[in-house]
Amino acid sequence: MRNEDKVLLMASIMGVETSLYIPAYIEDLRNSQIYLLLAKKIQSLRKNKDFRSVDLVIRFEQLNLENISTFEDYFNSYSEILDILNNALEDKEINPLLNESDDPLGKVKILFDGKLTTLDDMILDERYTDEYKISTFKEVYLNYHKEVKKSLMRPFVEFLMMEEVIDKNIEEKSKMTLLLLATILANAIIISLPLFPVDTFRMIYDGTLPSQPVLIYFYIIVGLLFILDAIMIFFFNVKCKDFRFFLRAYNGLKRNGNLEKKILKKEERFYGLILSHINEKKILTMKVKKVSIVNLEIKNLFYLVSIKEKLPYLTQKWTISYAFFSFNLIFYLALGGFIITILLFLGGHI
Amino acid sequence: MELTIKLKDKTYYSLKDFASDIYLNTEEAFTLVKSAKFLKILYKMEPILYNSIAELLSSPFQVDSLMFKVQYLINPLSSLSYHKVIYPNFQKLGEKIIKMAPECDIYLKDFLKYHLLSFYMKQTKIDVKDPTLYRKVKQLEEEFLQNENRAYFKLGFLLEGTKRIFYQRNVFNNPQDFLAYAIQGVNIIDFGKTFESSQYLFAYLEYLGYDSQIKKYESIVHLARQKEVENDNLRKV
Repeated sequence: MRNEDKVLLMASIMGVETSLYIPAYIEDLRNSQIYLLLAKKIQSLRKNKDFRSVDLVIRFEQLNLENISTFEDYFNSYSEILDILNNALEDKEINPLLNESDDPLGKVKILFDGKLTTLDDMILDERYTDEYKISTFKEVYLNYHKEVKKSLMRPFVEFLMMEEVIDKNIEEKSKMTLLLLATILANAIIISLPLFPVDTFRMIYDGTLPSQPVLIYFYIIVGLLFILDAIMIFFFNVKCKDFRFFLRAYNGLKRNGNLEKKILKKEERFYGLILSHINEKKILTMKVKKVSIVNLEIKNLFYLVSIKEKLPYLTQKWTISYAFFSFNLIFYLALGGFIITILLFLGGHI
Repeated sequence: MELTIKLKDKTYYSLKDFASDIYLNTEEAFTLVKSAKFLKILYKMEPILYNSIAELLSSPFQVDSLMFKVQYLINPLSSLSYHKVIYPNFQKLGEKIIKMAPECDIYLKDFLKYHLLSFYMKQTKIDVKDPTLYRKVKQLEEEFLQNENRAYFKLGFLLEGTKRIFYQRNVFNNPQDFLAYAIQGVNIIDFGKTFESSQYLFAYLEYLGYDSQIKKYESIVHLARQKEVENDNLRKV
């Protein structure tokens, strides 16, 4: 950070107007070596399925440089970019707890006695006592555990904060549904006009009204209304799809209880498994994914976090606009039709 | 007992008069005060005062700060003065500190470094007349151990008392106006050079109670710096 950057940051924190400088800073950041290097790294990480890679890709996608409006946001994003890059550059051995590989668990490498060794080789190595192997593995396990915690901490926190977002969306979805029903009801009234005991309405519907223009005009209104309704229902379903998936995933996670405890239990089972294999000098033939904590719930958690930003508040705006538009359209068309009808009547055409 | 004290080209006939001018000739006054002849006379004339000065001389000391204390032990009524400068009141001392900013006056730093100001306040009974001010000065003496410049400038703002900030012959009434000026054009380059090292603005903000904003700034900068260092290390590998 240059001195000028720090002054601008302080000014921004103190409420001085600094937004004019932000676009240039964002532009510089996008063109900076670290950002370009990160973008390149992310491209190669997209091919990987392990948790760490997936998490880094999600974090990168969640960077929203366009929405930066203060220097606090700018430098927080800058630190986040550096952190993602640092994690992407680190050469790490795989953490079986966060990996869904089909490879045998015994082939996982750890640092044992100063060099990288597979778990099987460590278990079978007769030069070392079981106590030494266990104490070495304990260190490795603690690092695995720390990495799990670090990977899941942010999604957990975001998950806990989601309730407010969900409630707001449910409320909006209810309003949207009511509006949709009201629109459909308006349609239904127009369609059921023939049931009204008014001769003119009946004649309009059975096509026996002498005035052709009025008939044609009426059919156009009804036709347009159906088209609008169809578009409305289609978009409502499409837009709400994301929210429905989101809600299903969220409720599923909430119902299944304390995820943290489950993860901890699975970690402890993994630890116990390794210890028992050390004591019995048995190699680890089961697949890595068998001990992994990555299950449907964890995947749901990451899914929730990744689409949280895309939740359809838009649907609400879109629906209300549609509702107002269609009510206004019906009203003005009807008014227009009414005036035309009167004029035609007075002109002796009907 | 008649007393004649010769200091440089002046002759004094009382201890109090001599003490009032110590700030003008500290080195020569020190040579005189630590001399056996002077101490013998002092012992006969003012044994309590002798004990106080002897105690100061027996502990490790810095000459200027020692003589400042001697000055006010002998004559608590003399004006606040140090290193050839008289400060008619605290407000003037504060103003001098902040008008020099972001530069620090190494002599004025002594007021906190060697606890001279609190000593002066005790000798002149200001600690009783204004215990709040005294307490704040003592607190700044503690803070000086952690961050010299920040405590020093905070003292300046405390004594100056008007909540204004001076910079490059301009006066600003609040930090927002000051920062709006500081980020303009070339000002940002000049100000940026000493922004963190001088601690001047931080002292002002802390004095006004903007602690949370300072903490926010420090945490953002600390995190960015940490990530930059990690990144540098990783890319070296």
